[in-house]
Amino acid sequence: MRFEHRYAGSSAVRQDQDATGMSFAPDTLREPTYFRGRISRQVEFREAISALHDVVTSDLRFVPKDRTEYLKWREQQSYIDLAAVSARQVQLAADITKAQEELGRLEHAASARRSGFYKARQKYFDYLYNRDREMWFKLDPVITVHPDQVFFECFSKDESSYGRLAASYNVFDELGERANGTTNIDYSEALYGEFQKIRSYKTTTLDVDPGGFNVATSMEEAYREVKIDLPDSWVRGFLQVSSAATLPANVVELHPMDVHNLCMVLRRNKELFGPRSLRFKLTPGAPVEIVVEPWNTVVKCPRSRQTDGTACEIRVWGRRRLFILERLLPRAKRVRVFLLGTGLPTFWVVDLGELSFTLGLSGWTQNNWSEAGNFDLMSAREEVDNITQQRVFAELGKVWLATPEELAQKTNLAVPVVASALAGWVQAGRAIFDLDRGVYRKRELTREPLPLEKLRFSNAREEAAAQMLHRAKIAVDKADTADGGLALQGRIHDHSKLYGVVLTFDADRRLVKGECSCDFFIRNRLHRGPCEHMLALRAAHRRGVNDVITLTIDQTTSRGAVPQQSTQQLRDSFQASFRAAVARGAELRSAGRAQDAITELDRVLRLAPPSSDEEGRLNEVIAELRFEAGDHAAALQSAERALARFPTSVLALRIKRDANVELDEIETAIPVARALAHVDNRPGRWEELCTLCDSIADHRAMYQFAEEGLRLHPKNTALTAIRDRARANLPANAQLPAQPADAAQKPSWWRRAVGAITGKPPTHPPPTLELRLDRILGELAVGSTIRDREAVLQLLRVAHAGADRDDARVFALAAALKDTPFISNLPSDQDLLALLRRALS
Amino acid sequence: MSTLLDRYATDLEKLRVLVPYFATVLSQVNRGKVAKERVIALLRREAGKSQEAATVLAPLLDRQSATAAITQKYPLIATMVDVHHLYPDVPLPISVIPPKGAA
Repeated sequence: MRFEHRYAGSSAVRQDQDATGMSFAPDTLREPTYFRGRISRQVEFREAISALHDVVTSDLRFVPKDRTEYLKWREQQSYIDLAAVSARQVQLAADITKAQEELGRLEHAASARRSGFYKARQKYFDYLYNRDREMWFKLDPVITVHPDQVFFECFSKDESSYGRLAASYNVFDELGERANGTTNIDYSEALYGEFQKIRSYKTTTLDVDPGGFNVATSMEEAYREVKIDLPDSWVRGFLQVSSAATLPANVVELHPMDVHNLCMVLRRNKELFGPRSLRFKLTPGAPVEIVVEPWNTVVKCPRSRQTDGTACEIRVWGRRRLFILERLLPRAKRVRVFLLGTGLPTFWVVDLGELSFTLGLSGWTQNNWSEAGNFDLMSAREEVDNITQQRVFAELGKVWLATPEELAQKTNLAVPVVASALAGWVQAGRAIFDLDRGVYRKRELTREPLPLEKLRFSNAREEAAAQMLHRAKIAVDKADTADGGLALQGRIHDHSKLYGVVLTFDADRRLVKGECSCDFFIRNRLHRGPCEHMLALRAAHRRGVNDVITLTIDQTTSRGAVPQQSTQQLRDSFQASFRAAVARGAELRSAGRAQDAITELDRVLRLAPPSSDEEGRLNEVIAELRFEAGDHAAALQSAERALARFPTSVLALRIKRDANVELDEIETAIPVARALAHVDNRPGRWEELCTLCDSIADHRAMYQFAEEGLRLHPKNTALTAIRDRARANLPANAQLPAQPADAAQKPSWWRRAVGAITGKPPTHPPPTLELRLDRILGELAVGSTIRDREAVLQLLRVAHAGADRDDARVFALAAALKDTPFISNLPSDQDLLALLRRALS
Repeated sequence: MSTLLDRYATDLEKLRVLVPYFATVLSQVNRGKVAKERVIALLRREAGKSQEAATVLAPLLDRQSATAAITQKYPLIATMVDVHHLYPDVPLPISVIPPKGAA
């Protein structure tokens, strides 16, 4: 967003022996606003305007340490270290030392020779740094002249702190001409230095210079055009914090020394880990207690009271911004704190007698996902029509400041309607709510009205979430605050669809984990921020919204959308719990508790949709685990259940065969082994089959199966040897057994010929799921780290069964891979999807 | 600058002028230990000199004694107790409770 100002000259402070004159250059593009007065409380004014400066320059965002220099040195040093370590001979080491000394001398000489250059460079950097400091000021402070006071407003660079300094006219001895209105003033870093020279023994005048408005248009060169490009998030932050002032709040009146004590605890300690919040324990009429986390230091405020609100506990973050108030404490009479709620903006109103300083702090210092919960600060509160809004604003414009009750009387409207209309104007940046006096004031933040529709929400999901809060049913099923964090679980019923949402916040209320059954989440996970349902659930929890959702299927819905959705829901929730169970199962197995791992998966099996592919795949997994655990009978049962769903499952057939062998049921195992050899047509499988026959000395069958294998793998030496051995064991005059009717047919001569030419086997059935998954893991193993191959295979099998189309399978497998902790360093999303598509095609 | 206090703050009028300065020094957060010690020593000395001086300094003593820093809180309360004993008419939030069983 671009702002343009045109100043007549620059602001300046004139200092002489017994007077200080501050002359601010106003923006001449705006309506003429000017003011002139002589300040009688110089020291208070100096401290307050310096604190306002601290707000503008406040930037507490995390800046990572610049380690390039160190890494460069480290790289060079590593060669030296390496050389020293590898020096095997004393002579070599001595040579190196000598060379290093020589090098050191040379470097020292080079550095001395270049010192002039280094100094000049440093000077240049210092100059750039100081010059850039001018650029710290995002938007020049806004000054507003009203019938009862003049006030300055500003917003910090890190988009989190709002400052407002109001000076009532009692602060001024002599008042000159003035015109009510709002204007931007030219403000620079140099002015701050001049403010520090204000003294109580010098007369001080404040002057928003009206001269600029009278300059003839011919003197265009006297004007200075300033164009500032501001990010939308900055303007949104400003409006969000000022809009929050209109919300009902718990009000605490603190003694200035209580704020002093709070700052002292923070100054004396440095937090190395979270939570980094202040916990206000409030009881109406009782002294306030503030707990400073993570040390849980209690700051007792025996001289403070809660003056408004209910008994509650409120947590606020970004507390180091309170240091801005330190300069004001010696002159402060009281500090009123307006607490809107946990994670919501707070306002600290410092009473300096005739001066009042308001510090508005957003919920967190950084506008990240933690802050994303506050998007609804800017959403419309109550619907008020445009004409009513204009009427209220016009009435406010006449008097400049008024309470909603006064305006309601003048406009003959109900008080809530007027309050709602005024809140709308505050959101639009054209009015403010003065917490100190409890009145609304007209204040146009910018010359042209701000594009509120563009600014209201930072993205479409926030907008959708705000609408959802009004429209949809939101059930907060679980809100667990154990271990300091917050775990939310809920359902959202919107447009006849049901979404299951799970959110986990850490102790600082940062979103650390989230799941939703919507399309946005499945496609993007959390890479592009939380989805609208997550935002809505969080806002609903904060507002205390909890609707009842009954899971009745609306039969009247067209195209049967709901039944389909509910099946999908069932599948999604099953997949989620399955992934969690596999993760836990793998941990238990690695801890040597195989039986517990099986129990865990058995529990999930009960959740699986009955007679579904997922159930079948899960049975395969359980069969394998039971087999490994040595429970062969149970493994056999599970494998049979899996085979009922997937008769050609390689894994289930293998387990069934091996379990039968272990149970000494070799004769039962042989048909299974034959089925396995047919499905997983590899020479090794046929060899295993023949070995089984050999173990019970059934040489006829052994001969038959070797023959059958040789049809599919002609000239295989191992199978030929087996066949010959079987024939040798048969009685010499015995008739050689004929091939069974269902034996694999030898491929036609044409296919064999093609095979001979192309080098491909004459028959190539489509690869089994096992092969495909093997291929996927094989390709992934190149760049990624697979910690537990078995667990990943289990996940993939069931994820594969969870979808019925190739496209959906690709996404299901990708989701499972991205979600599992057993595999890391996955390729980029695009590469992963391409890999999966290739493997599944 | 606080080294000059002993020479400058000699009469009641100057003390009155210096009260905002004392508040500024004592309200610094986790800074200016030496200056604070000098100011506190001066307050202790001057408050005991006359009832007028004690009256001038009483609101400051009352306000600053709410600090959580023990090194400041203790001498300020001690000063208030001394003033209370010397000049019971000076308004201070001090009430001396005799220990139980003393009677």
